[in-house]
Amino acid sequence: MARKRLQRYLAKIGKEFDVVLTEENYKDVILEEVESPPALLDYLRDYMEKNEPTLEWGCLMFLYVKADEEKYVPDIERYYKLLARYPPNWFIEVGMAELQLRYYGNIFKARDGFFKGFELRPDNAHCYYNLGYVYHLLGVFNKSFEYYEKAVINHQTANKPKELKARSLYNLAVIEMNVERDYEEAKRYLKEALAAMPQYPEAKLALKQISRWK
Amino acid sequence: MRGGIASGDGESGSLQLFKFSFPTKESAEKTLIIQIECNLNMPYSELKDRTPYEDVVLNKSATNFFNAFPVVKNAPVFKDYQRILSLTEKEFAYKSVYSKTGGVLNIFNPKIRESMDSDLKTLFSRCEEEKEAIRLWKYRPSELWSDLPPKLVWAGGGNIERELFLDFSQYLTRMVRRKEFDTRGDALITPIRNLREWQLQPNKICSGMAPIAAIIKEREEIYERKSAFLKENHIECDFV
Repeated sequence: MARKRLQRYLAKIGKEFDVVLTEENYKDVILEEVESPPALLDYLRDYMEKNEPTLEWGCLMFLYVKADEEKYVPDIERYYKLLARYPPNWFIEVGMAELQLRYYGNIFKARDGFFKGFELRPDNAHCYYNLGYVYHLLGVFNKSFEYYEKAVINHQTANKPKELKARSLYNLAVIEMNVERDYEEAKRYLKEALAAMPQYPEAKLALKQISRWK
Repeated sequence: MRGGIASGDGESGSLQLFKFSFPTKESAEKTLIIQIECNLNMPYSELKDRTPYEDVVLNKSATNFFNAFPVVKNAPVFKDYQRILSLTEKEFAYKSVYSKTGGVLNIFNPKIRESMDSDLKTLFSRCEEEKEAIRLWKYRPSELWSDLPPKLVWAGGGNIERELFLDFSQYLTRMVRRKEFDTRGDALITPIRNLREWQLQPNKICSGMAPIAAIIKEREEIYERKSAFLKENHIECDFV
């Protein structure tokens, strides 16, 4: 039964993606496919070393990554469920949290998913940033602020560190402006955001507007 | 009764003065309940300056209220009024908070269940007595209700919140008019972002205050009034 299932996955991967997965190469193929920052690749390497997954896991992970790339929700959910048989990994848990947030608009489930992400990979800027956003949507601005601040501190762990830092700083500025009405602090955050990512039209515009108000 | 009786038809509804749009069936339905909750906290001369809530609690029946406002009996929301006005003992237990909408700030929230309330769970496990846990919990701002504490969710909104709710409905309708959404997530997240933006902007309905501040202030006042009323009538309540 398990063997037949494996053959089916291997055939699908061969036919649809022209990739031959084997016991020898599947770990490298997964790392190649994920194409993420060194910190995440290290995490996945570590995960595979610790959990010694099987070739079937490799097939499911490969198919999950492909479904995620194509943003094809039924397959993302399907492979996520099938991967639930294996020890949880950060990549798919956070992927599902993002799906809950952006596809279903289920903020509470997304929040729980990002927290699960922390259990698997503490101090990850991607989760901090998303929790900043989730708490903004929940109308809990002090927590939103707290998570954006942590995203700034830990930005090096992100896929695009400078962009994530700049966006987090911009969001901190927005909270300073709209919640605290502290325009000096907002200005400071916006300047920092522009230093991290000079091509950031929203931050430029906000800075211009604040300067006009004063 | 001053305005505010709304009718809904699925994903959109019509109030007395304008048409509005809400992104999901749940939020469109909630618009009616929010207005009812607000109406029940407003004093009326027809009820000797009592609120419908007080009148129903005192009379242990909604008959007096429906007689004073026969228009409600013929309104499409009659059943909703009947349901909300069945103020039995359950209304005074902490669990009743999960049957409240949380008002305009929580219009896009899913149904909140006790199982989602991790603050309460933690307090139940930490405190020796359940009453002590509830006493602490009711004052704590909760992320289940946009940072409102349970006591203010239970208290409900009033006249200002109802006016603000109508203002937000118009604002949202303007913001999302002719917008197309690719996913349910998009259709929900966009109005939530609009809500968070709106709640922080000074609003002339509340004399230039931000809606969030005005809503909290009014709910505090309603909470005080409800608390005093229940104490005066020797009614035990977890929120008082």
